[in-house]
Amino acid sequence: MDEYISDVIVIGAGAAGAAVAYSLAKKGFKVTCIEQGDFLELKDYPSTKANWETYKISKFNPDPNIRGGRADYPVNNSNSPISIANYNGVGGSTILFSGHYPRLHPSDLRTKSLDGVAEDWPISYEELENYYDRNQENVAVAGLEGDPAYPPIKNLLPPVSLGKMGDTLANGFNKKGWHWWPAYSAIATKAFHFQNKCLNLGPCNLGCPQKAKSSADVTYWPKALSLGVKLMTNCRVSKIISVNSHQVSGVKYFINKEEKFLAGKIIVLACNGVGTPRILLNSKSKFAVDGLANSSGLVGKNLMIHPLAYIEGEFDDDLESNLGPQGCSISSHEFYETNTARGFSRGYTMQVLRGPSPIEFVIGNIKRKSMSWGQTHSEEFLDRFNKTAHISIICEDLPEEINFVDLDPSLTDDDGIPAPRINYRISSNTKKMLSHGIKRAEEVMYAAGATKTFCFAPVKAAGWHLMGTARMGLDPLSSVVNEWGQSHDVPNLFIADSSIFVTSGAVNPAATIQALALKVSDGVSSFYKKSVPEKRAAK
Amino acid sequence: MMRKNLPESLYAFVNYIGSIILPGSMKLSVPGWDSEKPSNDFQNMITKFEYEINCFQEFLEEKYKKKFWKIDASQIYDSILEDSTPTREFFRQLSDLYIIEYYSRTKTLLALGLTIDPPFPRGNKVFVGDLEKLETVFNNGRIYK
Repeated sequence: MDEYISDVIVIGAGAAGAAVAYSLAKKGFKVTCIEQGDFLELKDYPSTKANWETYKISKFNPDPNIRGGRADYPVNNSNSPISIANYNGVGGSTILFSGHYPRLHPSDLRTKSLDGVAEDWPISYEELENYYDRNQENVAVAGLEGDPAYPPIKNLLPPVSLGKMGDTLANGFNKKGWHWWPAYSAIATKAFHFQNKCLNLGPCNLGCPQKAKSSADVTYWPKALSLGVKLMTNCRVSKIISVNSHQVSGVKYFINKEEKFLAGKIIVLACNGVGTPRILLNSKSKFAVDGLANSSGLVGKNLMIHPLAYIEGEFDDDLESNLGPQGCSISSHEFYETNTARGFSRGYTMQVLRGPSPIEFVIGNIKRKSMSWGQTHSEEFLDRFNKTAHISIICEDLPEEINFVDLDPSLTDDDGIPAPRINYRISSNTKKMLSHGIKRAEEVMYAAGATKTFCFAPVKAAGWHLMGTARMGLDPLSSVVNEWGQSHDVPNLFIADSSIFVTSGAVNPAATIQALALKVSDGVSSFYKKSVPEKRAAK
Repeated sequence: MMRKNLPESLYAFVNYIGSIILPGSMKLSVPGWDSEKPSNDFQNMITKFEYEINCFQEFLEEKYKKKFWKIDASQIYDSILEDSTPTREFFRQLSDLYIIEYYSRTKTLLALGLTIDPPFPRGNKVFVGDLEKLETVFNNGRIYK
């Protein structure tokens, strides 16, 4: 029997895996994508059910340790003040992401040259910009042209509605004379390819049954499947198999507890900044004693998470806070670039979030004792619900080798694969940034009319942005992959996810992940043409 | 029915606590906890806390030197709020269950003026906002490096 050998095996069907699989299939490659989770169907989405809020604490909790689904692997967060958040399934974490979809700034790629910190990326902003634009041909992105915080960004759909709360905070930013702009949102504010127009359901972070949020299952996957990509769901990769120190031949994976082998000429990892180093470190062999692609010793190192601060303001007026796309309203890049007078390098974004749903509102307020039990409980709810505004401070997290992912010596998933262990501490630079951001956000709140504020940092359950653990660079001694996401050690191994980020910027990484994935697919294509002996059939 | 699996004493206990912490409001016509029987989901979750609930009862009985059912409601209420209560962390977890149960009830939601149908396919009307306000931001000029 002939063994089916893919030109390319993509591991992971999330933001990066979807983009790279689609792009390679479009170039005519025979692509197989292997994913540990499954597709979600309309009936699965909490927002279609009366008790939708309750899913936030169970099946749709962003913490895989709490969610504990069949597709989830445990994560040891005990050595980190921030716990890892993700979703495992077709679409990956974009299923639960809020859709905030800004690009990096040009300066993010030149932090060493400009500010003397971290490293410069081996690619220019102009090159990345080309891939951002290509990505936007497939992904609905709403926003507004003319933002003075960015070089021109074109082909945006109309911005999401600011809501009364966003509009009120805009007044606060204007009073301070600070930058704000409608959020770049991965949301179809009008019909776009396979995506329907947004209905302002609200809880984007429980998945979007309307298919308005640009999660990878509704953007790239329908196209990728129509181009013939073979998607294997409920299959968990345990390791990548090496045939010598410079070549891999396929992957071992579990399906229904049975271990199998899948052969491929090229392997592309797209499992995020924790899942990717986990597989590489678990792929030790006599050819790669410290883990695959790890001659630099940097696999798992330089983990960046984007520590967040949270600021809430209370207002006298009803701001209809909980209406609209949960994570997208307006944002400010006033303090994004380095200003040495502030006492820290680089900067942060102020992202305005919509208000919580009723259950979240009560749980949050009871926990921090700003709402009572007993006789006054109902009155307090009616007095305060929907009268709050919310800002998240997203700090640029600089890469440091002391922040790393390794394999837990005892914790494993259901298939016996070692779980990742997070070793992370917040740097003094970031602490200063968090503190600065909280003060500035409080100023905005009061300028907008808040009567009271509440704030804390870091936000514990906020480790969504997992970057830097297999970084790109030109020097094999100080990086894991080159500027095309190709392993320095193993040329037929590529990485397409946020592991390859050199720095983190101070924005949500999804747009950059997908742009880079398209670039990696160009790298794969170029390598294949030069190096893989059998010619693929022209399509 | 899960109701059968929840011991009578535990069932009575959780309802009693519920009526203390979530009494509703006559003035605002908001029903209290005891206006409805707890759902099967809630009862299921509560059974996981049986040991802790017993510890909490014992703690209160020890503290007030009375059988639980003889302790004044206001004393129980004070103990729930006290940070030094050894079962405080347990009560934090328990309180999430009460909130989820109570704020999922149709009667509660209607009394508070909230919608009872799910977001999809209903959707929401959201204030568009005044983008003219961006003029000052735009006029401040480029801020990226």
